[in-house]
Parts: sequence; C-alpha cells; structure tokens
Amino acid sequence: MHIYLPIAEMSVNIFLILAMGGGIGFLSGLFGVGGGFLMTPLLIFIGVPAPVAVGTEANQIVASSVSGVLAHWRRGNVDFKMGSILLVGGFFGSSAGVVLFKYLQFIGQIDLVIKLSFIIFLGIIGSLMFWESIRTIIRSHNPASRRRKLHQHNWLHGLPLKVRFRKSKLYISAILPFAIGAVVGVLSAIMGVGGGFIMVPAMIYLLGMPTSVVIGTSLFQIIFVTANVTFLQALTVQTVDILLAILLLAGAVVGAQFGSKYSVRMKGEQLRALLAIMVLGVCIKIIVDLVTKPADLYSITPLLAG
Amino acid sequence: MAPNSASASDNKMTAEISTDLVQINTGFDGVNLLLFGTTNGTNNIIIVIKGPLETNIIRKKTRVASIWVNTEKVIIENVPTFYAIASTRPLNQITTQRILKKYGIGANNFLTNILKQANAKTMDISDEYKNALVRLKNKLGLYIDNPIKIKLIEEQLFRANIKFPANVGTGKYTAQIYYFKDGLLLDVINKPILVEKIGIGADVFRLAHSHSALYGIIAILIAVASGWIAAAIFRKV
Repeated sequence: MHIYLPIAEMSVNIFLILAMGGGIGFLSGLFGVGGGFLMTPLLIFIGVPAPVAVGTEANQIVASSVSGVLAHWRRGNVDFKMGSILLVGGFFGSSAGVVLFKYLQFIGQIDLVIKLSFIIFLGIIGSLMFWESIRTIIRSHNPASRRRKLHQHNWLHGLPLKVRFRKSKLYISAILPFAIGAVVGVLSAIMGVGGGFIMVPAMIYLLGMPTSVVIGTSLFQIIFVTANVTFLQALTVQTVDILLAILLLAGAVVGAQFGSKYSVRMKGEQLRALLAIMVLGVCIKIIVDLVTKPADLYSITPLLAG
Repeated sequence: MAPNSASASDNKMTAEISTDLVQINTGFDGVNLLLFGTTNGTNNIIIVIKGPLETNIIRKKTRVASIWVNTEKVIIENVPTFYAIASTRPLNQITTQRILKKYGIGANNFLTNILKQANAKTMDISDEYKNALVRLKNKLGLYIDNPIKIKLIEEQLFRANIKFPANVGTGKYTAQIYYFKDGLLLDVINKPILVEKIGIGADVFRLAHSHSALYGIIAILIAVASGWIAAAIFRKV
C-alpha cells in the first residue's frame, strides 16, 4: 500500500516506513539514543531528499524521545537539573547548526560534512565505548576485581560555577554540561540526529554520571533540542514532512516501548558493547562509501526558487 | 510552429488525452495517460510531453585525498522537470536528424535548443554535464528518452500510454503531437496537462509554505502528543 508524502513529494510503501520506524524505535528505547544516526541515512537510502530526511527525522525523534523519557521518568532515572543545563546549551548549538547546515547546503558540501562528522564521532565514540565495555565485562568475570570509584577526578572538576546534581551524585561546574549540550546541538542539527550517541558517552565519560540516569536524562534534553531543530527547519527550509514523521513515529513509539522494557533486563556494559558495535558498523559503512568510486560521479539538485 | 507544406485538409489530425488534469492525492502512485487520435492515412506520429521548467545544479565528484568529493558544478537553467517521448517508429526512420533538432525532439535535442535560447553562460555547457542531466533524470523516471511505442490501429488511429511516475512534479505540462508524412512535418497539436496536488497532502504542503512557524509548532505538538499517548497505552499493557 502506497502513500504520497506531501513535502518529500514522493510515494512510499506505508509498511516499509512503519517497519523502519519500529526497528529503529526499538534500538532507540534500548540504548537511549534517538536512532537518528541510523534513520537519517536509511531515509536517504530509500530516496527521501536529504534535507527532508534531516528535518523530518528531527521531528520524529521528538516523539520517540517523549515516549522513551516517560518510561525512564517513572523509574526516577531522569536528572532534570542536569538535563536543563544540557538543553540550554543544546538550544544555542542547534540554532547555530541550522544556519551552518543551510550554508553547507548552498555550497554543495553538506553531504560530505555529514559523512565526515559521522566518521569522526562514530569512530572515536564507538572505539572508546567498545574497549571500555569489554574491559568492564572481563573485569566482572574476574572474582578478584575491586569496586570502581563512582568517577575519576580531573581538571574538568576545577572549573567555576559548581552546581550539585543530586540525582547524578555529582558536584561539578555548570559550564561543562552547557558546553557539551552546545557542541552536541550543533552536530545534531548538521547530522540530522538527536545526538544521543554522542551525548550518552559524553555524560558517562566526561561528566562521570551514573549509567542508570544517563539514558533518561539524554532523552529528556533530546526532546527539546530536536524540537528546536524541527521548528527552525520548518521555518527556514520547509523540509519537515508531517505525514512521513507520523508514519515513522507510529512505528517508532511502539518499538521504543519494547526497547526500553528490554533495556532494564540488560547490563550496562552489555548495552554499551552492543551500541559500540552498531556505531562502529555505521562508521565503517560510511568510510567505505566515501572511498569507493561512486556509481555516478554526477548528482543533480533542483535550485529552489528563493 | 505551424508547418503546412502539403494541401491543408488532407493532412489534418485530431488528438486527445484521457485527462488533462492529473491530481496528486494521498494515494497517488503515478498515473497512466492515454493519448490517442486520428489522421488521414499512413503516417508517423511523435508525441513529446514536457513538464514545467526548473533550474538544476549538476555537481561532479572527483577524488581528493582518497575520498570522493563534489568539486565542480554547473547550473543549467530552463530544464524541463519531466520529458517523455513516444513514436510509431524509431525517430531516425520518421524524419531527418536536422528536423528533429529543429523542433527539439528528443531529450538531448530539446536540451540543446533550450540552452541555445538561454543566455551565453549556459551556452558552453559541455556534453558531459548535459549527458549526466539526462542520465540522472532518466534514472528518476522523469526522462523517457527511449521512445515509447505508439500503437497504430488500421493506419488511421493511433494511441500511446505514457506513465507519469509517482515523483512527478506539479505545474503546467504540454503534450505535443507531431504528424509526419514522408519525413515532413504536416501538423502539430499542443495539449496542456495540469498536474496539481489536492486533498490533505495539498493542504499540508500549503500550510508548510505559507505558515511555516505554525506548521513547525503543529509538527512538534503532534510528535509530543503521539509519544505521550504511546507511552500511556504501553504503561497499561
């Protein structure tokens, strides 16, 4: 059964879109990532124009994050104080990111910048998470292992404007989460993702937050950052396809519920190892795409009448 | 374009399209147009359907430090969004290359004619970009350069099926029906076709463009509401 998407201006199979939404939604609930880093490339792959994929995906992540955060909230796994500071940074970052996106699109390098950003961030984060989780898994199998400290102290803890985050059991400078929020905001606008796959490791490794509150807090701030991206994309380039978003989120919200239920049964380090493998997989795929000679060296884009 | 070399009344044709209004609704998955008509005798027909004109950017990738990057671009103006051709026989058996070129029949000839009319800067666009344009549009199903077969029924009736794909753009299209005899063009009929969006899809499109801020807010509210509802439903399960 086909349906015509009014903004993407193409006809798609409803069930394909629902299945894509459901599958990615499951992963989103499981790992606490928006799933955009998988969905955006997937949408482009089935023929959705890249700007529409980015704008619409931001909209869909709003829904799956709302749905996901409620499940974590009920279990008390959201640090609202930390989330609020992250999202203030995220607002600034994503607004700047949308402007940068428009410029890169204008000079024809948006695809390249998207891909290079994915390679750099997915590569670094995937590798770090993978090694860390493997080490943890090995150590947990060793009966002689000793209990780790909550987090390591480094120079980042010497910054001013210290705030106490009770839920995260942290007493750190507010500058740190603000900066992380801003950087992730820029990336999420440019890469068409929620940014959870960067935010989650940043919260664990840079802020030293306990894994249990990381996912809920990440989802909480993603809601606002992607809502901001959705609004700005709709306002400036009209690339948010409500119909496509509704189809995706119909699948995704259902998938996310199953995902977050499933995540309770899994150990943190196992989750991280799985996420790391997925992140590295996408990273390798993009590298291969960039270095192999494209089937057609030419590409065509209509110049939108301004 | 009204060439009449032979005596007038013998060389007339009639032509009609199954519909001159293509409406894109939510269930739209492309549409088949039936073009049909009559002539006075043994004949050859060429049908050309053109979409509204747009400006395209063609980019070329080259290898930079072992990755493939867009390095060159050409802007081509007045490119038809859609181009389809149908004929009773292969084009070169119907008339000469000179006449085909003159009337811009065939995607490449049409493009060449268009570029000639356009300003000097688009004149010297090299063939590689023109070929790329036709090839890429062809891949999208928007250029049908290899003529669709026009069926002849008892010599005097002709009919052709031309498919508008699902990704067809909106706007004013024209169908040109050329009537050739012994390599000479006897008659041309122009038929307009309007492609427009209707229904909820059209309303969504209009809202997105005329009230962008409101549209953005609605998009967010729908997302928040559906996320919330889904979570509420699943809580009880």
